[in-house]
Amino acid sequence: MSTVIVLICLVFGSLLLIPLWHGAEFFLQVPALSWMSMQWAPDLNVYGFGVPLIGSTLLIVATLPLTLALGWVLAFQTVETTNTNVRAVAIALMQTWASLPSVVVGVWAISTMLPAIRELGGSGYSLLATSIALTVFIAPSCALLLMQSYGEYRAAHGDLERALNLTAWEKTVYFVKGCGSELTHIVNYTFCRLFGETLIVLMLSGNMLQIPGSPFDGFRTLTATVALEIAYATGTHELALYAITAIGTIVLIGLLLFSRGRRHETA
Amino acid sequence: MKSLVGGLLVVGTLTAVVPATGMATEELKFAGSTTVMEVLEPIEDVFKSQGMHIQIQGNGSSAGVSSMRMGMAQVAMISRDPTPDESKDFHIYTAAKDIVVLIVNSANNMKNITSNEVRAIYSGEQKTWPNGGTVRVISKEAGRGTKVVFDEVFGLIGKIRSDAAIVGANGQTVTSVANDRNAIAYVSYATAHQAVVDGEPIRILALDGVEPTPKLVLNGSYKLGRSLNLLYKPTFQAQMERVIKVLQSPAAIQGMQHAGVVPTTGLSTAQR
Repeated sequence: MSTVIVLICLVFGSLLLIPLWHGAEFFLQVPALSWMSMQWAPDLNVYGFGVPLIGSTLLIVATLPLTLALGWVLAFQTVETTNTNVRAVAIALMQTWASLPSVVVGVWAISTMLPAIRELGGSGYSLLATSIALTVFIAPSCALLLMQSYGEYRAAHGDLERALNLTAWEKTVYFVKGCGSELTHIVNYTFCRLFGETLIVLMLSGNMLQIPGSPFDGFRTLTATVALEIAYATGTHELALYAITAIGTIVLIGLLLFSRGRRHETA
Repeated sequence: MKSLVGGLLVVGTLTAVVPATGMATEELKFAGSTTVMEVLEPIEDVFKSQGMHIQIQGNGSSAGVSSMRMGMAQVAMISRDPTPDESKDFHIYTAAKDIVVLIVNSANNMKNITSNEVRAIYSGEQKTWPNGGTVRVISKEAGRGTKVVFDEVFGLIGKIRSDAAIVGANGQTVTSVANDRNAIAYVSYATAHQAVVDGEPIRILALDGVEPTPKLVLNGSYKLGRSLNLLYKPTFQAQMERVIKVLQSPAAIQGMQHAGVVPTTGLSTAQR
């Protein structure tokens, strides 16, 4: 048992420490004014994280509510349906959907959504396209988690709901109030998936180094910057990409710690 | 420690292995430019026929040099000129000359582009085509050999417009241009030529009135040319001579020509 724990600590520790170590090297070498700037230009030895950081933030702001909303609609309808065959098929479909590789969703989006968005304006590579594709990709995983949580809640409170003859909206409100800590966990999971998903973003965002002025504009995220350039980077450029990974790691650890704190509070 | 690990890797990969045929095969690792990779892959069999098994990893010119420095490869492939540091530390063999070409969608009427227009389009000064359509610029990732050459020739280092789409693989670049009548991009001649042969709706543009063909880069009339170089450590000289001998063989020359580049064998020193 202890060997398992040591192994987990070694692997997980190195996953966290390597980017943090190299990232620290970058932060010590490069003045804060440089990496806090809005210009990412490795050709000029300028490594400002501003634009990709804002890109990642905007993507999450645009996509998180969409994903949670679609996930909840799928979960609620599946749990509420009285037809067990329909429920079984829905669950099987969602499990399959959640297992699809991201490249499948990316190819689907490139072949169907990009040309349609291009007709509306811009190149098609956009915040809108990326956000919709990420919603399609992550919503089923989110729905399966919500389904489990709502299923347990309903098993405990279903009789009361029926007695009060609650509407769908009222059921949603009571569920959110009653399962706050569980929902925080699901929101965090969805956030982490959105923050970390890279392939779909690479395929659909256009990877433009700009702050999008509209949903039809392209943009660049932190993770896409690393994935795009790590193979071609050397020296300070390479360290800058490690530093981006370190920032991502810190953000996610911070979020998980916050989430744990909230769960303890609720408990 | 790094050099020890690197040394062990080199020794490991250079160790002759004996295949089923009983003939000793030398294993060599090449890493670097994806453009050079596309040129060398079709002639892997030529190496094999000379008792050499080459493993080719396409991870970008600069990363290839890093791989070689760390001992993870014996030969670095770069599709740009070597930096002063690289020239000082390594020996260089120019295997072929290649050109970079500008491509547009075949629905675009443009057949020729001037250097000034390229600069204006890629810096963001010119945002529309003569027919009124919005120019959609496609560029490459920072650090890629093709981008280094392109930026240097047109004086665009650090000046590429911020709304330029950065599309990774050459194939995706071609597809993006094929799907967008307002797009413009740059890729190696070999990639563009193959795409045209395959029927992709793209057009290769003449630059300053010069139609791009690889041979024109030799006399300097087509300015977007580059050398495809192999870098290696001085200690690797003996093995590299065998590699060069293979690259200079008629079968390898034919293979490289088929890939759309001009092998340097037979060229004068000035042409190289």
